[in-house]
Amino acid sequence: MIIFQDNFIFILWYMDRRKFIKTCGLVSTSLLLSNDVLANRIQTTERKHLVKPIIGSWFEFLHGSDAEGKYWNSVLPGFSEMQWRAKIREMSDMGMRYLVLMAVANNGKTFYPSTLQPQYDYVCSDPLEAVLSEADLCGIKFFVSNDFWGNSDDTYKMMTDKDIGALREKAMVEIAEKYGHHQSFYGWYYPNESGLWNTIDDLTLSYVNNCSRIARQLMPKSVNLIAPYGTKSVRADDEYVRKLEQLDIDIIAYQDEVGVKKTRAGYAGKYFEGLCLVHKKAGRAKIWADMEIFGFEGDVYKSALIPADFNRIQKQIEDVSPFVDNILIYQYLGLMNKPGTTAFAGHPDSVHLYEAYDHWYRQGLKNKLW
Amino acid sequence: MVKLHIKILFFILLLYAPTIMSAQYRWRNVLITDSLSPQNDISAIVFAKNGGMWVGTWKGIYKFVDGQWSSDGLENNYIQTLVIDHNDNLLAGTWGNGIFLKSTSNGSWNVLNNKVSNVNCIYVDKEDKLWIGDCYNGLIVLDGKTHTKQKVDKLCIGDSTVTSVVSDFDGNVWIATYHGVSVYYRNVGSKTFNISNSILPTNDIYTLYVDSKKRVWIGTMKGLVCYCHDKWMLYNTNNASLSSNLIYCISEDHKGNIWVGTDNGVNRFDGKRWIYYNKSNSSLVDNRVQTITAFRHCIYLGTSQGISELYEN
Repeated sequence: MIIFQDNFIFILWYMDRRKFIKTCGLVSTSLLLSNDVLANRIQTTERKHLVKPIIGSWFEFLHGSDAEGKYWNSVLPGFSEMQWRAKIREMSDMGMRYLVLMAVANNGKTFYPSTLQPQYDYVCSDPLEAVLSEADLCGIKFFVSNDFWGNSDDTYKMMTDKDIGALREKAMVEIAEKYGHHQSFYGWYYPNESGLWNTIDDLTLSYVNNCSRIARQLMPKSVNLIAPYGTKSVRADDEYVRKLEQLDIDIIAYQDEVGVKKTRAGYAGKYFEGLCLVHKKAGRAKIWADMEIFGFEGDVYKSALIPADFNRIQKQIEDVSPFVDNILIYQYLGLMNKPGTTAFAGHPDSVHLYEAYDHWYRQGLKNKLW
Repeated sequence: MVKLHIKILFFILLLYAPTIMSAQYRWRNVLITDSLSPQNDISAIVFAKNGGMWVGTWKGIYKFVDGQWSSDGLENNYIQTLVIDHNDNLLAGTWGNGIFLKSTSNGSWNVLNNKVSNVNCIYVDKEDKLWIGDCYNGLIVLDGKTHTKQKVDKLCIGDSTVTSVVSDFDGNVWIATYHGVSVYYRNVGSKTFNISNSILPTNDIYTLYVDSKKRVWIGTMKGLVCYCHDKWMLYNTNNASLSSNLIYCISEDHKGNIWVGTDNGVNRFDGKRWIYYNKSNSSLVDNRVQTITAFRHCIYLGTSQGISELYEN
């Protein structure tokens, strides 16, 4: 750059006055533009194109932890079929196209009429049927859970116990028979959160591959998803590529872990950047984000989930967008509510978060950013 | 005619000033390894009294010896922070495995305290006490020699996730959390500053720094705050030419310039104006500037993809 400047000044020196002034004017303007204005403009434009809207969310009929689900666990059993349907429409209206059902059962009871375990006593006799039916109408695609048929806190047992495995397989058969006809039944979600430490361990490999084998037998066209935690611990190297090549899964939605404070807004992007490279190299599973839009009212894991400030969420979106195909959130239910909804569930601030995101999303639509 | 040419050339030079300013430094980029690797994800850079340089990475600790990088242990650990205490002891805070002390006799790393697991920061105060910020267990204070846990009276902080700790010139300890900044007035009590009682733009505080002019710098997710003599000043992309509002780290060079690392490059403040350097206008190796260390006449910028060294021209 300095060399260029020296030559340029040398050439200018030997020009006649008219050409000299004209050239100086043009070059000065271009220099001004190129130095700051142009650079900033290019950067801003690139960034905007890279930002992706939230395309989906986790969904649940009851939160696994009463402490975390303080603001909505007591409300959900009283939801009517119409309220469950309204919830799905709300999410569709704000641009969501994918929903991931966390659990079809928990603590020895199911959220649908089943021959395998007794059902939770809910006002709506079949909430699963209600949400899938409404999703059919809205064009939403559901990843339906294949668990929790044991104690969801004991992940190791859930993934290794033969009896639970047999029950899970029977349940997948039952669910496919009862609900497989729904257009919205897009695929399966294996909710036993396999924590990553450095790489994908052999237990996770065999568990996921076994679930996928059953899923494809039942529904050959199913698209299946997992959402591991431990994202920041992944060594994005050739060893991880080899593991990805062996893993029979269509989508991995990595948890960004900002809500549980393992990382900070603005830091998670680098982990996703590394993961994006190894996923491209492996050429198998798609990479999505499971973005946490919550904070904790008190201590992490021991207190109520509350909506995070939208400024933080916007930063999270900007951070991971360049490296993932889609962004899902954990989660709409309980943390976002449309103003005036007939199916309110969650913290009062959930309305503010809905409004802040909706405003941002509509601006993006208006500006044709997505 | 010659006079006119000189005037116009002078005018161009004025226009060119920002670019010329960037040539104030000679840049050198350094990688621990020549590939995309967590070894190039730099979390800390420290220097011993004899000038020995250690680097904490997302895959262990590395030492620069005889023009080459060599592993200095903890290869399977995620290094969050590295510090050197007043006796030149090296301490490493890790993600998941707690805090380690490097033995001065045989160079091995020993677990210092098993009460912490996910270390965010370590601060060594004038009394050689270690103030350790943990991701979930709040603040743990250890005696610098015996490494036994110290009781801290009348301390109340924002929450159990401590991201940064510093001590100001009066000996007050500033503690950053996701619920603002708490100032501990030793043995007297503490006060927490947050969005409701200060100029802080957010309660998510990422980093703290005390400079030689006794100013406390507070890096947040939404801008940089300076606290000096009971006055608060907020710097962000709207009122200063900061490259980003998301602040990762802060440091000061030997001339008193303040350096601020962000997710979009590094910023230098000379007391009057801000200048930023990122990949679009400099040789910075990566825009995520995670740690800054000024040593002698060089600024070391640790990024997520290597180190950029800035030497004054």
